[in-house]
Amino acid sequence: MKKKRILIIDDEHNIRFVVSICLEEFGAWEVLTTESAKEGLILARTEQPDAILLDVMMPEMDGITVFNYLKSDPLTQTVPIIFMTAKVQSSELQELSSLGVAGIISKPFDPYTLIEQITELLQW
Amino acid sequence: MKINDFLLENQPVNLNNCDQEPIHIPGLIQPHGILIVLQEPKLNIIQISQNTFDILGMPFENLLGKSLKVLFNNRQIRIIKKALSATSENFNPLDLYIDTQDIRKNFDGIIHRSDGLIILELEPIVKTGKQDFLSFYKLVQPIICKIQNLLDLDELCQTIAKEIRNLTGFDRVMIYKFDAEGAGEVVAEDKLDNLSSFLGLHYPPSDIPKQAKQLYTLNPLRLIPNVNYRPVELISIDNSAINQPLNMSGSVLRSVSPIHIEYLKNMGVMASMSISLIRNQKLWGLIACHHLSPNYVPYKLRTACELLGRVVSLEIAAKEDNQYLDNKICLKEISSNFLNNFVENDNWEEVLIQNRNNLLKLVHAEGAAICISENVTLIGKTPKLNEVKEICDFLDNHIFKQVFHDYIYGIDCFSKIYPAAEKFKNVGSGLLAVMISQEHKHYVLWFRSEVIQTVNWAGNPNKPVEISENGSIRLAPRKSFALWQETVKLKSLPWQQCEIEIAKELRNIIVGLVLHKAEEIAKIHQQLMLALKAAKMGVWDWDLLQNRIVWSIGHNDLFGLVEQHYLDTYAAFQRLIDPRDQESVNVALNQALLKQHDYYHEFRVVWPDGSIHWIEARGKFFFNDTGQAVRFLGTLVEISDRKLAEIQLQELNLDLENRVQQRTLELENSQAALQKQIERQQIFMRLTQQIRQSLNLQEILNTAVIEVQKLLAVDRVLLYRCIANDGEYIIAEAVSSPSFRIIDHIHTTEAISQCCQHYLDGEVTVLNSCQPEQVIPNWVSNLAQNPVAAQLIVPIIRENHLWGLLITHQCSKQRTWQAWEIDLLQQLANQIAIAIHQSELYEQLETELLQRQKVETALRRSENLFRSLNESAPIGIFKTDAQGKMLYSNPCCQQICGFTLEEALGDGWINFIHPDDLEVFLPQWSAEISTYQQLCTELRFVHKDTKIRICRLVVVPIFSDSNVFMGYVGTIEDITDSRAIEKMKNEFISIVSHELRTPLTSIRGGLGLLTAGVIKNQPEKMQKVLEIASSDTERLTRLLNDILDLERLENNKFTLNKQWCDAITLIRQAVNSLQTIAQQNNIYLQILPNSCQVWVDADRVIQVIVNLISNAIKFSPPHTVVQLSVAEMPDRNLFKIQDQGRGIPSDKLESIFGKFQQVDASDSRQKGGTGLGLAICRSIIQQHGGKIWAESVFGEGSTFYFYLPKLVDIAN
Repeated sequence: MKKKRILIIDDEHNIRFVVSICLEEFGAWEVLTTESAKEGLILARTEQPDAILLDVMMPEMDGITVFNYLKSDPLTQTVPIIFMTAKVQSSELQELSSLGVAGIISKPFDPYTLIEQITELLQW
Repeated sequence: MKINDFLLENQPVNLNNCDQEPIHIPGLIQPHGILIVLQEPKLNIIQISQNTFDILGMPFENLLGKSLKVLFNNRQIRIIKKALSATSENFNPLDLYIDTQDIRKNFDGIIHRSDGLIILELEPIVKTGKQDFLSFYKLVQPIICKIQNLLDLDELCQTIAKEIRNLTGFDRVMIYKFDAEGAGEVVAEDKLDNLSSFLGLHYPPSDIPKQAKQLYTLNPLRLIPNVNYRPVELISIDNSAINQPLNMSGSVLRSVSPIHIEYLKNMGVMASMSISLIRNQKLWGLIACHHLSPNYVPYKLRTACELLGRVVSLEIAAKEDNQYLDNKICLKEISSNFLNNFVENDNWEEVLIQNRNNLLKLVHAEGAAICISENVTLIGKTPKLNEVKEICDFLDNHIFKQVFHDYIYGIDCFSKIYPAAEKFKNVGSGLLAVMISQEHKHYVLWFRSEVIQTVNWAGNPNKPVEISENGSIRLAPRKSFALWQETVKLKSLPWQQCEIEIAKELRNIIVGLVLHKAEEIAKIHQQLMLALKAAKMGVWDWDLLQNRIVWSIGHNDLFGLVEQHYLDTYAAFQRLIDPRDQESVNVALNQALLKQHDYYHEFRVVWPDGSIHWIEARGKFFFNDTGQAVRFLGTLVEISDRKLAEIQLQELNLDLENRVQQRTLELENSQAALQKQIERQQIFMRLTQQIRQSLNLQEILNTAVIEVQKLLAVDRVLLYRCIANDGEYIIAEAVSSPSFRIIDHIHTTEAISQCCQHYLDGEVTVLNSCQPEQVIPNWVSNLAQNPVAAQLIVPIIRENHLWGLLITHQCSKQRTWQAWEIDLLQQLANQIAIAIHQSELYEQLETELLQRQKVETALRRSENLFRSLNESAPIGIFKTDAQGKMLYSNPCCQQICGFTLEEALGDGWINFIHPDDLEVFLPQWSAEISTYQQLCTELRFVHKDTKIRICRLVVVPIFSDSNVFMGYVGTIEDITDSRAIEKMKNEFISIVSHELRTPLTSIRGGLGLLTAGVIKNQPEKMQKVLEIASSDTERLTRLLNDILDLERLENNKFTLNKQWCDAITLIRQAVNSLQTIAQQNNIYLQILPNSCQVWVDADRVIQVIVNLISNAIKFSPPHTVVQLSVAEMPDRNLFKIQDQGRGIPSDKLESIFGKFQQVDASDSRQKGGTGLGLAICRSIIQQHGGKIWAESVFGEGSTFYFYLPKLVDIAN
């Protein structure tokens, strides 16, 4: 079975670093990362990841815009997307879940729990 | 009942057919209201008008036979029952309402009893500006004052016509007055300018039939809002107990006679109202209101008009009485004038002719004739001389001699008894004749002309009979209203009773004075004539030459001689002469002879029987040419009788003189009496005016007794109040001396109740000498020191009840009450009754007014309180009716919602709700209204300038005392600002949360990895993870510090530790702390030296400068300069930090001083800032009383300025 590939889009270098280690070490998944939302869109088309972990608050383009682009593109619309967000107020979470995302993971998170959540959400 | 059924079958149609119309039982009503007939005790509807569906949307079949509860709730039924148990009808109108399917309808309920049934009439309330009782009360009151001050009847009528028209808005308001035959005259009118005037027109009696007049008396106000109405039938339940038509006399909705409707239509009248004017229980006249289009007058306003009608009725009575009195006094003055003239001149016809104008005025005649036998004098417009003479003959032969045996005769249609009068109808249709002397045919006649010229009849009073197309006969009244003159042929205005009285009086004066005297003189003349006739005369002829005397026949009688005894010589004659006179006879003869003049002498002769007789002798000497006396001729007359007569005459003259003197005295007395009578009448007028000047009852009564006491000079005057079954007492007293006072000694008694019947009939008790048991009140006799010697009692009757007695007592001595005194007291009693009535009416009005004023004041106070509460409340308040229609909104509410009071009224306020909210709100709102629930919701209101306010709306239902849902009261609170603050707070928390969670994420993740040990074999990764955790921990700390700093600064929890510093030192310290970083970034920090002292917290200002320099370093490309300077200005010191960095877009120049408002959100990550630096800087500078701002050219660099104010106060 082919290794699952996950694309991380987050402007925080430190988070990208820690999360990719988590995914690689615990989940034994292949990880692609980018700090730029625009680059993330390109990677999603070209690399066809099995899932995308998407930060919400980013400069230039926020996570919701990225999500909408991905869902409107036939090449990427089937890719499950999980938001990672530091905005945890219920109204903010409600806004995100109403978009039809695969899942939402609140920051900060425990690495092991992260893997479990992803596995469960994507039913891997 | 069909309209034509009004006319009875087989009834000949005549002018007075209207008289038989059963207009009080038409079984029909006008359609502007509902009539319900109820049977007690359950108030079942046994009869109802057919128009319930039109007005209530309920078919009458659903109501008939049911209890009244089918229409009204329990509270209203209670109101109706309470009204029914009341004794008067003052409760009308009742405020009633009926909830129909879609709306609540309000009515004026008018209730009365008729033949044991209850008639309830409902008039829908039409909203007009004049409806409020308080406001129209204010309208009525000044009108009453105004008409009360008027003295003249015509003016009164004109004023009330104008005021009624003002009040009701009718196009024409007329005052009708009915004469004795029932014909009406328009005596006053107020109208639209373009209508032709009816003023002065007369209407024949048949215009207002008898039974209509009776209804007007019963029912003082009638309204027909629209003559083109379709009458509505009354329907009874089938098994109804009533088998006779309903008596609708008291109904306000009663249908009107079709004849009357046609009458009105002929005049072009579309609406009419009439108010009765009643005097002495009789219809005096009407206030008739006409409108050319339909006009409805609300019941309450009608009540006001009715009240005015009542007040005017009273005033009319008083003014007519006064007018009659005025007239009488005027006539008395004229007659007294005559009297004065008669005293000076006893030729009465001369006096009458001299005062010809007064003679005519005396009886308001146009012509007069004074007939002294055949000698006739004509004055003014009269028949011709010979015609007048014929009239005198006619009167002489047919009137005074045969018919009446009276000396006065008046007729207003002379030709009726004297056909020849037709010839001179223009001057002599009316005749008033006074016979002065039948014997001598002395008459005074007055004439009046035919009245035809003076009466204007409106329309032809002989109503034409009309046959309609279907063959039925009906009356067509007043088709033509062109002026038409009825031929009241050969008739003058009637002679008034007072005119006849005054003519009688004149006659009495003439006869009494002059004619009587004339007859006396005639009698004396006659006596003289008889005396002369009885005198016997003898004639002698004495021939002096022959000395022979020849005597006439009959001379014997003179001397008492027998026949044939001749006195042929002087000596023989001389012997007969009384010796006493012989000498004087000789002397007289010689004298006459000597002086040659006529001889005259009186002497006595002695008859043979010895009796002595007086003789008068007259003679004349005749002389011949030589001067010798030749003949002596003369006459002898016995003057014994004459002498006697002369004595008698002297006595008679004396007597006559006495009698004339006496008569003159009597005349003077009579004149004095007349004068006194006039004075009394004037006193009476003055008294009446004084009594009626006041409206205060006690004042009226006190004035009355005091004036009567003074006028009659009696010892005591009492006003004794009788209240049926409720005791009796003295209500006012006036005494000649304090010792006569009894008012304080006497209390309740029942002396008169038993015997008051004869007082009720107006009988007067006159006791010139009084027994103790006859004294009223009977307890007066108990006061021994105050015996009553004479008493006079006059009842005061008010509305057929004995109100009380006017009692006068003479205590000291007996007294004969004069007729005029009794008369005066009676008249005064009538005036007092009127004054009492007026006073009571006004008192009632005043009490009512006072109460209303009190209520009004309390209401106003309470209203002011609630108004100020409402208007100054800092929260929006509004009120709606039961249908949710806005009735009121306070200023705050209008400001919040963006509407004006008027715009919001009704459903207007709904239009201001945001359309998106409306979808949710409207269903919610209509659900509320049907369930009376409380509602709390949030709504947005859109202002006219498109501004949107978010509001919290709370409404609660309100109920009346009787638990009837009245509507809603609501509050509106503007929560737009608190919403914005809340939003900002949420955003801030969201950002802070985000900023805190971001470093935590890498720390927690890294620690998780290390704990799990998955990278324990990868030291590089471990190291990297540890570094990340460490740096993010620092970032977290920095962030927390900044947040706390800012929080303390913003909440003034931070104390500035101020001291004098040199500004340049502060800059240097800041630069020094950043020199290393600047060098790492290849940035050159340049300080422009300039020294100035500042009073600041040095650490904080350094923090600001450091922050600004580090921002400059972060955003400047390498090899650029950051320049720092400070400049001293008069009132401030200006700091400036200038870089050559990337610059700030102009739209961000302001916002960068906000929290987490970096130009670019990623800056915090890249540049290590917290996003709070500039916000902290601004807080610090503001705490110092300064200001911070930035200027920038994008791409070329930015300059940050801040200034700190100099402490001018401290320096001084």
